[in-house]
Amino acid sequence: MSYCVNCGVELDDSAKKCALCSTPVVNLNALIPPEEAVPPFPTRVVIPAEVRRRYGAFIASMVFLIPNIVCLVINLMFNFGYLWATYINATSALVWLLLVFPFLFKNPKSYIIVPIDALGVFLYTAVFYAVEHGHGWLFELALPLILVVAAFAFSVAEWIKHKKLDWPILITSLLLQTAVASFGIELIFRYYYELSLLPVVSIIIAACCLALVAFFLSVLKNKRLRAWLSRKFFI
Amino acid sequence: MPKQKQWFKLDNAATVFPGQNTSRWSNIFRFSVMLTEKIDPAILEQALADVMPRFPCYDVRIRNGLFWHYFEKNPNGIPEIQPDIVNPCHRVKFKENRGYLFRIYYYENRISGDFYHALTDGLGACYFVCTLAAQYLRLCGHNISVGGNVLDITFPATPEELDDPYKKCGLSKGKVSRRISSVYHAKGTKAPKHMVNITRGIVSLDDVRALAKSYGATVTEFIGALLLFVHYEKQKEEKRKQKKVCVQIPVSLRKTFGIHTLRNFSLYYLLDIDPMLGEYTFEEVLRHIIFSLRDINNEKTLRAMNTANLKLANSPFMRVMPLVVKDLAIGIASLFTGEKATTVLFTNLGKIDLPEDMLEFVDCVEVMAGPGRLNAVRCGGCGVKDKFIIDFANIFEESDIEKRFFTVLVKMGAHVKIESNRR
Repeated sequence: MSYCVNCGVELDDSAKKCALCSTPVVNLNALIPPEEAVPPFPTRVVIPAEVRRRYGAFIASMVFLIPNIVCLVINLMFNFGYLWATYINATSALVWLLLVFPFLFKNPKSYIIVPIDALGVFLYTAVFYAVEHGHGWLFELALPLILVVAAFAFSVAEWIKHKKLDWPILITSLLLQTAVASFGIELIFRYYYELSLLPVVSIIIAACCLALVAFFLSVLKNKRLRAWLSRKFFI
Repeated sequence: MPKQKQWFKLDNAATVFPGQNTSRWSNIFRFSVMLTEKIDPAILEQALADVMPRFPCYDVRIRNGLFWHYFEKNPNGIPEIQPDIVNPCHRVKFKENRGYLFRIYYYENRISGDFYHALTDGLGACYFVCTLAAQYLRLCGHNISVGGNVLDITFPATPEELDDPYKKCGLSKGKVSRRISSVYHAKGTKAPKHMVNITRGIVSLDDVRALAKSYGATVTEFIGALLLFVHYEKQKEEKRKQKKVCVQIPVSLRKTFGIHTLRNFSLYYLLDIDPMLGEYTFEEVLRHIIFSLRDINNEKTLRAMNTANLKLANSPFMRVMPLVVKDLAIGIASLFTGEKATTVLFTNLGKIDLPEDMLEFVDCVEVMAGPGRLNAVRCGGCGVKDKFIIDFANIFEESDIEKRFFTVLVKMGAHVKIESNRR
């Protein structure tokens, strides 16, 4: 029988250190060496099987696929002069890509998902561009906008991934990214509509973001304010 | 034996548990009996087969109705007897384990049962595992009588044991409003997914009783207050905004309402201290717990609490809500209530009543409250003969709460033996 010299509790014969304070057990007079004593708990570990997300995603894909095929077949059989099923098929494909596709991966990575999603959104707009016979907006407006939004989404996903990040720093970074993205979006619109390139709306957005950034940076330093915020806005 | 009932409604407390179930966590707890001899799994399997017909409310699997979950008789034989694991009380999935909602393990001289809370509460599990251990001893050639927590397996279960006991308590005209406030939760390094750190403290029941008595308290009040005090001290050292510290103490209603049931029949009290009111000594915390618990622990309050729960479950709106929506709503609601309002849980089954002729073959018993999601530790206590076991299930790697708790006991003069699955 051994006792912890730090906590004063008796330890079981198999213990090599105290379970409470990790003080090593040194007992030269122990009747049974710790290696030979039967431990109070087994070593067998059972980790329950994971939920099969990919299986669920596969089922959801089938649910998406069946009505789309039905629509397409009906459209081909009863063609009233145009392919109305294109709208349904394209929209379903986009919804599937955004909501179901990531779950087919065991560990979805933002550098794979975001470019594929961006490509999907571009193709979706391209379909409508082709059907509606657009006049140049696809490459001059839609594509740059999609690229800016994708870059913003990628950047946000990468920041959020850091779970250990302090929440005021995370919010600050998100606000700064929002400000930068708003500048990009406004410049694209202004260029397309041939307006002056001097930003107006994005300056207002950036000013609001910077004011909030200043507030959250002050939260970082003020422990009492931070505790009050945590208490008031806990989820 | 009469034909077994083919399906059961979930009791009023159990209705919330399936909605709270996630792929990471289930509301599950463990009851174990340590015998004086090594367990033979073949005999244990036979004992389980003998005992199962006596407990038809556990011989079930859970199914989905349109509006509610329900239990139906499990056609898949008996649950598999498994060698014990180092991470008990991991989550339940309804289609695993042959559909059973409890798992039976053995290790050296220990028989353990992990029970999903929808099935029963701590005392129900205690009846089952003690009866199983008694039957195991009988098959080993010992003469074990029935009585106390060992039920007679030659008689069928009575309707009283199987019915929803909450509906038999009667309704109160008044309501007890349960306030939910944000309380302190200890922080630490999380153990890997599905793992839990267990620390078992074995103390003399007489020592603990004498200590509690020296303060004019019961064992539940004493340990509940000590847990509260340990968390209060820990929060104070963290030098943060001081939140309330709250201990949740479940209480069995069986004695209060004279209903002998094998299903869930417990409610809980939330007892807290507010550090913003000033500094507390252990004696002050204990006095606060004693007065609060004795003030509210009475039949009228319990009936009013039960009435509030019954009225919520029986409201026409809740009844017609489809099960999918109901489960979703319960899942979301449990994130904002449940453990949010408690810092620590302490469940005390007290001294387990076993037949005299069984006691010589039983070393000790233990109850382990399953790990929480926000509660750093959950604590269970029960004893037999002179051994009282206090079990901590900790979701964090750090053992500072257990250390503070047991060193206080040692300083008060109690002899404590520690066993743990931490290596």
